[in-house]
Amino acid sequence: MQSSPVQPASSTAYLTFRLATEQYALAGNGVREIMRWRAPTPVPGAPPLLPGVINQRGQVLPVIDVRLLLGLAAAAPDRATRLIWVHHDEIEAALLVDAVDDLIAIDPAHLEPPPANLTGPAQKAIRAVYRHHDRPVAVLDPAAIFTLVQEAT
Amino acid sequence: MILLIETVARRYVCRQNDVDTVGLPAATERDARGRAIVRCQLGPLLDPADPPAVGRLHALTIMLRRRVVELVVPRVDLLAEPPPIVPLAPFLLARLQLPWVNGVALLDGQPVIALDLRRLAADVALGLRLAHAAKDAP
Repeated sequence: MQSSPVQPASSTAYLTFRLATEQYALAGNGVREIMRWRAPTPVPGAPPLLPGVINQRGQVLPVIDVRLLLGLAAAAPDRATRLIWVHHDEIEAALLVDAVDDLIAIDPAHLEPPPANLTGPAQKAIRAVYRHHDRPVAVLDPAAIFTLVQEAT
Repeated sequence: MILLIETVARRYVCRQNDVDTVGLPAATERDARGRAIVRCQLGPLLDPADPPAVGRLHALTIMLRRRVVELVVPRVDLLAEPPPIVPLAPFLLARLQLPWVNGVALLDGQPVIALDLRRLAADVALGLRLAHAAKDAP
């Protein structure tokens, strides 16, 4: 019998993605689907961080620009840009990110607290940090993302 | 019944009942009852990326108590089969500058914003505009 990498029973799958030069992660159980970027239909009067809505197989999803939500500069979409269909409680939305990287298993015991010097939206949205191939991955709290959408100016 | 409204760059839908008449824009500044007519192009009013239309235009006329609002667009059609309209996600609805959106319809697989034209007309008559259009308000 061949051996295969064993995922610890306590591990959770996380989807990793990029915004600017930073890597982020979201718990995989809140992710429904990853889609290529397409122009959302703008909703009159919505703030820039909510650039519109898309239809994904009959479901109308509001798009959240995670760059703007976290206080980063806006970026034009390119071939790597993706929309991540997420659900949390009763909320469904598509997160606009620069690129999706991988699905990785993270043992909760290896999560570190977020840096104490975080400020602004990142302080609220980043729940923990995980070191993946010696690079920090900021683990986002989906509940905080939707709270930030409602609080953001 | 549902009206499909086409601006230069976008499509919208609205309830036919929200609109009193659809026709050519009035040639006067007051209607037969002496009410002032507030006229504006719907496309640029809703979206800064939607340029003003030129050529033959149609007016969606909404009569209010003291004013008449004409929303001018290039094209209006009555949809033979009204599409279902789903409400906006509450967190998105709560973030709108003005409550002019009723929901979203799917036409040919594309989301099309459903407008509350009576509410929009009432706000326009009061001089309210979305931030991008505020500089053009009378």
